[in-house]
Amino acid sequence: MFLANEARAEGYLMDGDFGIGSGIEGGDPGGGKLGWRRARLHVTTGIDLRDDEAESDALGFRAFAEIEKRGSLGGEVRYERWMTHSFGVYGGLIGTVTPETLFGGGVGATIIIPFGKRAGLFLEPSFHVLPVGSDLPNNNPLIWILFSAGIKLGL
Amino acid sequence: MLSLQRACIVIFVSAATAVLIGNAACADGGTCLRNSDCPTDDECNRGKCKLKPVPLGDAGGTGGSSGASAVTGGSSSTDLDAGDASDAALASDTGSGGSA
Repeated sequence: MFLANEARAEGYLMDGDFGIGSGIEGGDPGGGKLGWRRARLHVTTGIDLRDDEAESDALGFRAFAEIEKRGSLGGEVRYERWMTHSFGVYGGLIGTVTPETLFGGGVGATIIIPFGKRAGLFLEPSFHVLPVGSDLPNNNPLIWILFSAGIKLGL
Repeated sequence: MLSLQRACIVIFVSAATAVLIGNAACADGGTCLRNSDCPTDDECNRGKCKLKPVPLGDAGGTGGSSGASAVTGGSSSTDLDAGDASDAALASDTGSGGSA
């Protein structure tokens, strides 16, 4: 975060990122027993927008693809609060739209390891609960505990 | 260049750690948790991929045959467990509808 160029006037500062992630996925497909397994590999890209007059607050948009099994495409909208230049927390809505739908919310944290003036490595643990969608075999929510890593660039 | 190499190493180690944690936590590797874990024609049912029931409109029957077609769709599943009491109950329920 805070990798973007200085704004010329009032407006938004923008960071872009690209990363991969996985973790564990839990849910009850029926029978009353919560099962866990490795989550599908996620490939994620997106941007963070923040007002140049309130740089601690940001709005993040992510698109992701799960690239195992039948795969999926999805997105995330998140509100980010940056405690320092290299550490922030966020909460938001997440979901997949194809081949099945799945929607929920989650929280996470982002740690930035800067290298160079406008680039950094991000590490991002997150926790999501997804209770709605056609991808669920019944009404029990799906749980994602993910860990993502990638590159963040000031745009 | 050195920082780029360091970044690549950190990404690789992070991804490997996530995969290892995931595999270690995976107790039921052969089961499904989501419908998209299964082939297109299947759905996840109690942790196993089973053939989706045939939609009533695709059975070709009319009127009272709808219940019978539902039974046919269920019993044609390759993964249907004949000993499953719930499946038997489902067949019984849908079958009774066909007589109407």
